[in-house]
Amino acid sequence: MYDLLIKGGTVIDVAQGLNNLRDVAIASGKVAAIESAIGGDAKEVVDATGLIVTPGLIDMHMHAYWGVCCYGLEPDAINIAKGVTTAMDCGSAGARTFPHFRRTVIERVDTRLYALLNISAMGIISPVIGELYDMRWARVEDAGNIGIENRDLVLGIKVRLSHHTIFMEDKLDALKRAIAAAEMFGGMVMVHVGDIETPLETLTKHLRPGDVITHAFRQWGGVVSADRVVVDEIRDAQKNGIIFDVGHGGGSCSFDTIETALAQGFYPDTISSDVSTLSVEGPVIDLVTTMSKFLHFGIPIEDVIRLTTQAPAEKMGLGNDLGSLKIGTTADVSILSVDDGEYTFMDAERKSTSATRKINSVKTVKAGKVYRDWDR
Amino acid sequence: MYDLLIKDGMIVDPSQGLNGPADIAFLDGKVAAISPSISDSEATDVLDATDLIVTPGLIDLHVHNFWGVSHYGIDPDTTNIANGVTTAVDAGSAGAATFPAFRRYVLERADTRLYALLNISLTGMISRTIGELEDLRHADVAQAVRIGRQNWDYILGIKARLSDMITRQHDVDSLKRAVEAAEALDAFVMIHVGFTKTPMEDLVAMLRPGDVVTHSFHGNAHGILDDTGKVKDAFPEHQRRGIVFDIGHGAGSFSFEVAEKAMADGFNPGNISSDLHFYNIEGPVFDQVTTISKFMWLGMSLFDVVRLTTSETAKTMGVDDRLGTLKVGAVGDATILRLDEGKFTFTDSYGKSVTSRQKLNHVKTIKDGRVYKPWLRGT
Repeated sequence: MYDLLIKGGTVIDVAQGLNNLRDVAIASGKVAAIESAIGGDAKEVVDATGLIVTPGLIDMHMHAYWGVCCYGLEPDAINIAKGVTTAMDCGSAGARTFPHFRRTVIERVDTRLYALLNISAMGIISPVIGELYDMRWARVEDAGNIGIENRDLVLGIKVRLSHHTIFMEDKLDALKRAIAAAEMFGGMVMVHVGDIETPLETLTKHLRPGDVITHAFRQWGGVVSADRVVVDEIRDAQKNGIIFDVGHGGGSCSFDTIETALAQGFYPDTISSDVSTLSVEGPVIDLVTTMSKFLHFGIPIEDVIRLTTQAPAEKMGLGNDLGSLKIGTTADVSILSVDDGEYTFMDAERKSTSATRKINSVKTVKAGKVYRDWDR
Repeated sequence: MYDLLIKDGMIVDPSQGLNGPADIAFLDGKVAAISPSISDSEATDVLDATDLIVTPGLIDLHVHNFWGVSHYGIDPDTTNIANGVTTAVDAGSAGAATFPAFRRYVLERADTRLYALLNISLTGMISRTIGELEDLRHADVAQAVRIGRQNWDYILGIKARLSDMITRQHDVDSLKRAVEAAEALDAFVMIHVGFTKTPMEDLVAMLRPGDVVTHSFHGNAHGILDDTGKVKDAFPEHQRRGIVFDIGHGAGSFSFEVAEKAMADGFNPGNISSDLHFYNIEGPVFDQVTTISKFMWLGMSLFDVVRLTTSETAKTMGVDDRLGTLKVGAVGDATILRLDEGKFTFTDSYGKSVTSRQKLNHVKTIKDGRVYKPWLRGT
């Protein structure tokens, strides 16, 4: 007797090389079987005919610290209600505020939330007064210790390098402090790159394999140089394990950069939304809209799914249990539709493009249970 | 300068007899202006409602939102305000013994404007199988009155569920106590009928003008119709003396056949509510907008179904000075709906399905003059 049976859908699970019609059976919160036709009884059956069944989507960059962080959204309404079973809050909280973030948000929501701790002890509170304008906030010991104490939820350190977050003369110092704090607990560093004059390939030289550049597809200062090429140093950095994440956001993703990079054979390593109060009503809306943009610019659906399931799970160090539908792993599942129609997508430069397909979230399963927002 | 302007919608506001195109503006949480044309430049935020319907915030007179205590309870906001219902009345989930927790942990924390009817039973609706009035000692008038007085800002009346499996022969005695408590509180009584020991007309005869019968169009024993399928003579008379016959669709209490026969006989409901709860939210009820769409399939006009979930409902609740209306100065609650064409299947509580070519769907909710956005939660 299974608890849940998802029947008739096309399972896309890159970790297992699947892009085929499969039934998925779930028992005790784990994936119990994937076969072309599963008989046997189940307490609940979900008909996924005509739909895509994927591992629960993972958004590696968003902001969930509602009420303290100026960018914070209600985590469940933007994540699990829209197909994202696992999300990472990227630096909304720092060492001072993380205990509160943990107790009042992370532990209480239905979405599986992880966090990167801001190297600034206050985290992101104000949109105009940068968290690193006063470098006394960047205390390596405090961040490292909070990371050690909360290692179950804190996966690394976030450092934001933009004119609105830090004075430019401090940026390398801040990056070094972020790395030092991350090393205290074996976490990753995610660097938010803005338009900071330093070429990205210079910045990546300081990073370690497994560290992340987010906002990598911004118009200026991202993976495409001022003369619109992806330089060899960037390709080498990617080969060496530096992760180039999308982090679309309200100001950090350009269709021109996406098209240029893809034309030159450069893919992102992960697709994330950076959805926040600034961008939830556009241009980002949500993760499935972000994914749809990359589908539109020519990344095949299997890769779009990979970049929001298996890839982020691996980068976050969660690949053993999340990001795939392997038997015995946690049964987080997103049921998606790819709808035909006329859609307008907008980038962070406020440029629009017309698309004919859009990915939409239909139903979400977390730990083997269909997510029903009316039943807490 | 207005905070919000909804432009180019079709305004349906029965409280003012409005049923046509107009613009509506909000300021400081209230309706500030309705006129044929208000300029974009006069508002901070502008919503385009072209081809859409703008109504007063919908009111659902019968829901169950005491999640975690009552087995019927569902989350108030994802089921009400997120689906166009700005104001809802929890109909008896809590009784005098459980109401303080209901108030503190649910009513005061929800974004939906919630009111409550206090169950005449101290326990409220905890179990699905053990009736709250099987032991009549639970129907404690003094406790109900005490809690009703302490919570007059939320409690609008008293609920009594009178089915025989709930009251075990005590339907008349339970109702007497409910009326006694309501008299003391100057509040109304809502009775739940169907499968009662006593005929429905005898129970309704015990009610006072302003009291409510929910599940009026149920298809169970002791209903509104006689053996020939006509409405029993007593009911139109009770409706004339001010008894409100409410729908309370629910999982077991709404029959298309009864509704068709009653309405063909000239007997229309006095209110439309969903009785949305744990056992019907994934069908056959789904939500209040689906429930009112069913009455459009039954032949009611858009204007009338909106009336029976806005202005009439507010009157029954005694809040029509500020809710259920888009009059200038009223609370700035509005619902934006779209009337979609297609093939829609509607199912009643007895498994009978019909196909409709129209369905109302919810587009956006405005509460206190602000667009409701669950991912922003009040910021």
